[in-house]
Amino acid sequence: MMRFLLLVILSMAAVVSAQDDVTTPPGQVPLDDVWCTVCHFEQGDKFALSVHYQRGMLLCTDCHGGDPFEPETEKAKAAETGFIGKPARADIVAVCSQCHTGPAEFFALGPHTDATDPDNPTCVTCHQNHLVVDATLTLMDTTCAVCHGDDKAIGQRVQRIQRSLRDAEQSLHSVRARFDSLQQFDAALGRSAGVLMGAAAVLRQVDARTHALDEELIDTAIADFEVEVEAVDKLLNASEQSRRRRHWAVAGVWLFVVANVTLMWVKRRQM
Amino acid sequence: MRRLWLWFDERLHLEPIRQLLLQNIRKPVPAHVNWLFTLGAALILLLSVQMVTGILLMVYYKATGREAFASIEAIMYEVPLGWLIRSAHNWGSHLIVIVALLHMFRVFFYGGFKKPRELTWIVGVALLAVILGFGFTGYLLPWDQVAYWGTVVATEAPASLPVLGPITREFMIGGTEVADATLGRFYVVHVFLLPFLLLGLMGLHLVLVRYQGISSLRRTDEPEPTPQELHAGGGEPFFPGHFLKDSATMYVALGVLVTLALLYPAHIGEPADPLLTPMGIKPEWYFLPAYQLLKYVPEVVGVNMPPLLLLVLMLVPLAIDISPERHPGRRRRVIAGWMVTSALIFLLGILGQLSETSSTIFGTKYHFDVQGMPHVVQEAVAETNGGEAE
Repeated sequence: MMRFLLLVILSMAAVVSAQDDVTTPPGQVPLDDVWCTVCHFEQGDKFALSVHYQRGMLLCTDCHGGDPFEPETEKAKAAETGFIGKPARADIVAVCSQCHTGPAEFFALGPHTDATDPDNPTCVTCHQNHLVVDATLTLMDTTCAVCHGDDKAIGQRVQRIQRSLRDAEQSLHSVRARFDSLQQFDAALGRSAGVLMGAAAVLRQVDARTHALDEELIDTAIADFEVEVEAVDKLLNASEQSRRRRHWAVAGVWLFVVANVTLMWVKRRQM
Repeated sequence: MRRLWLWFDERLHLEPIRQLLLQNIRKPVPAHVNWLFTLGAALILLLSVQMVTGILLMVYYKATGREAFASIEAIMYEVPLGWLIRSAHNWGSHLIVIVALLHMFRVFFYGGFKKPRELTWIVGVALLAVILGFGFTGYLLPWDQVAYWGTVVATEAPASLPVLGPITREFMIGGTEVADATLGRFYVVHVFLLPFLLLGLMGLHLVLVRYQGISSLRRTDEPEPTPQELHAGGGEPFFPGHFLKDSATMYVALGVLVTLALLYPAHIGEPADPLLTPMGIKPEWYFLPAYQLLKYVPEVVGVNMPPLLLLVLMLVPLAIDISPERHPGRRRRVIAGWMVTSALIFLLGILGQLSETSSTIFGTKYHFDVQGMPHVVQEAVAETNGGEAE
C-alpha cells in the first residue's frame, strides 16, 4: 500500500519536476561551480564518482590547495591559497594522512614505507587518486597481485589477513543489525550506543593496522575487538530478555481488555 | 452507600440534580448509532491517561534549559517505570489526534453538527485546537535537538506576518531566540493553561452532547424524535446500553496505548544545541501539512492557513453545510468537498514527510527535495541473469 502511494506521488511529481544534476549529493557543492574542473575535466569526472566527493564532502582544494571558486587561474593558484598542485610522490602519504591518520601511522610500520623506492606503492597506488572508491577487502585481491602476482607466500598471507578481517566485519555487521533492530523497541539501549561505537572504533583500528601488513599486530587488535563485541552481545541479550518480558506484559494487558469487553458484552446481552 | 447519599442529600438537597442526571444519561440513542459513535469515549479515556501520565511526569521533569534534557534522561533510565509513563504520554499525544480527527469525520458524515447542535461542533473544533496546542507546546519540553530546532522553525513562521508578526513571536518565545524563557512559557501553557481550557471545553462539550442527545438522521426542519419514538425505532438508552459499548472501546484504546508504549518506547535524541542546526528538522506528523504548505505559498499565506482552517471548520454548521439534510447519502456534494480537502491536506503531509529524505522504491533510489519532489539518485540495477548479460 505504502509502495503504491509512493508510486502515485512519484508519477505526479515526475510531471512537474525537472531532473537536475543527479551526481551532486545533497549538501555537496556542484562540480559545475568548481573552476578547477574547467581545465581538469577528466579528473573532475572521476572525482564526481569518488567517495571523497559523494560522501566525504571534499573538493579539489583539500588535497591540492588553491581556491576552487576563483575563476582566474593565477589567483586560484596563488601562494596564499596554499596551492601545492600535484603532490610529490614522497608527500602523498602526508597529504592523505591529513584525514586518514590511523592508516598512515601503520603504513609507516609496514614493508612499503620507503617512498623513495619507485617499486614501493603509495596510498594512491592501491586506492587511486581521483576516483577513490570504498576501501574494501577485495581491494587486496587485485592490488597486491599487481606486484606480488607470483609470490605464493605473500598470496597466502593476504588471504589470511582478509579472512580475519572479513570475520571481524561480519561479526560487527551482525551485532550492529541486532542493535538497530532492538533499539526501536528498547529506549535504554540508545544509551548504550557508545559500546557499539567502541567496537566499531576498534575495528577501524584493525583496518588501520592492515596497512602495516603485520599479522601479529592485526591479531592483537582483533582480540581487542572480540572483547568489545562480547560486551555488545551481553547488552543485546539483556535487551532481548527485557523485550520478551514486555511481550508477556502486552499479552497480559490484552487478556485484561478481552476479559472486560467480554464481561460487558455478556451484560449487554442480558439487558 | 445509601446512607452516605442521604447524609449529603439532607444537607445539600441533591435529589433534583440526581434526577436531572439520570434523565439525561437515560435518554435513548437513535438506532443508527454504531461503534463509530464510541470514538468520543476513547478520546475521554486517552485524555484522562494524558492527565495522569502528565502529572506523574511533572514530578520528575525540570523545566529549565539546563535541566530539562537531563530530567527526561532520568525519567527514561532511572525512575522506576518512568520510560513506560513517558512512552504512554508520548503515544497518547499521537493517538488523541488520530481519534479526534476520526471522531470529527464521524460527526461530519452523520450530520451531527447540524441545528440544534452547532455549538457542540464549535466547542469540538475548539477542543481540537487545544489538543494541537498541547502537541505544539509539549514538543519542546524534552529539550533535545529535534524539539529545540523544530520549535525554532515553527516559531519563526509567525514572525513573517506583517506588523504583528515579530511581536507575536517575541511574545510566544519570550525573547528573540528560543531559550530558557521559551521553555518556561511553553511548560506553563502545557501543564496549566491548556489543561484548564481542555477541562472546561470538554465539560461543556459533554454536557451539550448529553443535554441535546445524539442526533438522529432526520432533516433539521423536521421535529427531533421523542424518546418514545427513539425507543420504538430500536434505539437503546444511553446508560447502560450504549455506555457499555463506550466502555469496551475505552478498554481497547487503553490496550492499544499500553501495547504501543511497551513495545515501542519513546526515544530521546541529542541534547539541544542552539549552535548546531541538525539536518531535516520536521514538526510532529499532524503539523506536516502546514509545514509543507509554507514551502509552496508565501509565508504570510501559509502561516494563516492553519488558524483559517480551524475557523472554516467552526463555520461548517453556520455557513458551509447549512442544508436541512443530515443523511450522508443526501449530502454527497459537501461530503465530496470534505473528502477532497482532506485528501489534499493528507497529500501535503505525505510530501512533508518525504521531503529531504531518500528512499529506494522498486530498486531505484530517490532523493526527495525540500518541496517533496523526487530526483533519481541511483537507477535500479537489473538483477536477473538476462540483465547482467546485457
